[in-house]
Amino acid sequence: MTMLAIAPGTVAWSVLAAGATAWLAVLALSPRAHLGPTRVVRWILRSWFSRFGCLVAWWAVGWHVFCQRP
Amino acid sequence: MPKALQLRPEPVRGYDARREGSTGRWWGRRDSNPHWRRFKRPASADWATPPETGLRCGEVIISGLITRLLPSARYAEVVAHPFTRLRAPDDLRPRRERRRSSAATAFLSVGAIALSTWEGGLTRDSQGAHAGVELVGLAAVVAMVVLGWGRQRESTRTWAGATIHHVRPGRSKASVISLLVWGLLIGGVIGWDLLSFIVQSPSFPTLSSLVGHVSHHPIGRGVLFAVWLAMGAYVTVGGRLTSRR
Repeated sequence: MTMLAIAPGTVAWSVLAAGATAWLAVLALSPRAHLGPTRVVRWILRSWFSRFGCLVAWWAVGWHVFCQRP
Repeated sequence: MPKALQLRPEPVRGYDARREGSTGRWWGRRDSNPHWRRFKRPASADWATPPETGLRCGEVIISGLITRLLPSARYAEVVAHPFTRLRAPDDLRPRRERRRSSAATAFLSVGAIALSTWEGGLTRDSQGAHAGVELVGLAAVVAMVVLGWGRQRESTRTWAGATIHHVRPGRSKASVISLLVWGLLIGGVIGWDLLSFIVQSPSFPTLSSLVGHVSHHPIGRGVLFAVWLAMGAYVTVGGRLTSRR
């Protein structure tokens, strides 16, 4: 019997992805009392400091993905 | 008096119909309340009467005189009352300005698609990929400052104060649960990524290596670049005030 070998790291990432999906589903179905992703992003973009920090993080991610990854 | 200058009627606080001797004005009674079932009064409200402006909730009041004297008043004033549920006012910009904005959006979208297609065909070591990411980053910083000057919602100090106030103990149960779940998810991703990076084993792939499976292909790289550009565009210009202060 052939078994597919799944790396433990992949399992952990799958659990995190499932958790994030479930949380987003809860946010979509629940009233606005919960802190959704839209409110988190709007909160970050309210001031210059946090907006600039977000932009630096965005650029660093881009540099890593497009200039360091294959 | 221009309509915009009329103050909205203040709700009558502590109104007592029995003291006034007029039971017909007692809005709490179903038979005398013309707004029965149209609005829901919160149990905690300390007012008794609905607005009598004749305007629907969220309706924008604009006076011709005020609009001519104060251009910024074009975007303002929305009727606010405890009964009303505010919604965003419609786009009230002049037609020419709206057309110009749509044309700029279309132009930038076409440019972003072309740039993503070009970037999809490059590799990590190419000069073009490096120059492209560097230039996009520089353009984002310049655009953030130029477009956002005078349109940022809060100063950093106000923002920090409000944030500290928001995460203080004593918040509602929903807020605490939200903060806990967000913290767990974000902490889990960062923590597990760090652990995988330290272990350096094929059994523990980092998030970066998982993304690498997609960015390895030209189409995946192009799509990822387009998503990255869209996120950067939102961080650069999103969440601004409509007019400068």
